[in-house]
Amino acid sequence: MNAVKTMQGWVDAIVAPLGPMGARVLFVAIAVFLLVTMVLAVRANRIHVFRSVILIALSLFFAALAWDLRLLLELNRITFLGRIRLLMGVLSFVVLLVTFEAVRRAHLRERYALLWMSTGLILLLCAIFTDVLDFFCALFGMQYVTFVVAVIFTFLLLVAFHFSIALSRLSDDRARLAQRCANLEARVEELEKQHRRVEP
Amino acid sequence: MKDVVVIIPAFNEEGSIGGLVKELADACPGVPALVICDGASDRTALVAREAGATVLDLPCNLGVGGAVQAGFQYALANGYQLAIRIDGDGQHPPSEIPTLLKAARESDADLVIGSRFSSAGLHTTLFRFFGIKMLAVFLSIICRRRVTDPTSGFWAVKRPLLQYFAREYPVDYPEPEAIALLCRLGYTFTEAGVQFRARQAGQSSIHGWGTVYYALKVGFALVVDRVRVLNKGLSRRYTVEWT
Repeated sequence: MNAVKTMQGWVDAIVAPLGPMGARVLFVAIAVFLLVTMVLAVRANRIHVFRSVILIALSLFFAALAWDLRLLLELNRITFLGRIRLLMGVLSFVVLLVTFEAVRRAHLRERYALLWMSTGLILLLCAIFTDVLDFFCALFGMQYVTFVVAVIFTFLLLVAFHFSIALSRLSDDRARLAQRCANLEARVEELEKQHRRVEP
Repeated sequence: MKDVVVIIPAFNEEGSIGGLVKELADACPGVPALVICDGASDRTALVAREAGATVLDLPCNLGVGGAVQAGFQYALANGYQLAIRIDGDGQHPPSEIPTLLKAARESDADLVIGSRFSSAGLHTTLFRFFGIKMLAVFLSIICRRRVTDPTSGFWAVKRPLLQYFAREYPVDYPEPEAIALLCRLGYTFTEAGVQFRARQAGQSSIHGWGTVYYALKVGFALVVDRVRVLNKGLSRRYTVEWT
């Protein structure tokens, strides 16, 4: 609860000295700054769609704050559980977006992306459907947060295991390639020797 | 002896490999030497080539299992009937190869293991001696056949078994595992007493804590090998037909 009070303190600290009007001006300024930055970056071709979407969302958020300051207070009143859901939602979006980007740029194969994608989706589901989760929490005797951590942990474990298997297969392939390569090299040398014998 | 090749895996053995190849030429004239340079950082490949050996120069370090397997693949591809495998550090004296060859010709086993414990004179520490003995007892139980020196790398491998090893061979410390696996696929082995000598250069890859790791790793691998899914197409019944 202390933390919430501190938050309240922060909000007061921003709004009180500026007055409601000043705070609005500040938020509008931030929103405009973000938008201008984005537009400039897009014109200079320095930014991707993916990042510009995030910037637009942020500037819209600040614009909404400037429109109605009560939103700030509403935000402040979000419960503990709500904050965690919000955090999880953002986290899952980040995981999904990063995975998608990596696949799109061919840094990551689709088959490896599948597990990451499902991790992100499960996180998202955890954030949206708290009722279903409550059932599982009761079943396993866990708190909501503990359960979420357990789910994340399980998926990370799966991903790590997946990597171990992939790594073992890769090192097997590497051995086959090296052996074949060395054998072919020896064969080439032998053929060269015979060739030299035939036409010196 | 046109159908025999000697396989020598070597990793950073430039100090001893040249002498070993020459010694081999003296002890068994006419038998080609194949040195597998296991991604070494020194001049092992060069020295071996100058001494008159054929060299398989692996582009990266695969460990002794991968290196020896490359040698088996070479022996198979070039039509050899028998491959002798000795270590590159010189602890298996080439003068003992005729003993092994004789045992291989007389027996119909697919593998002849040169055992340092079947005869007098061994070069090992007391600690390691007991470790090897324990492994030997364990392996003997698994194979239902007496094994006295499971870690010996002094082998004579006949062609049917070459077919199998060229396709599948254990990785890290391969000898005990390979023995356990070949038993499961219906191959046979026998032992011949040979004299080992102290290694001539370098240091054993297994020392200090490595000994404990070796014991754990090999013990675990042997247990896994009992239940491993095997490629039945590589069992003795089939590979003898191909040969």
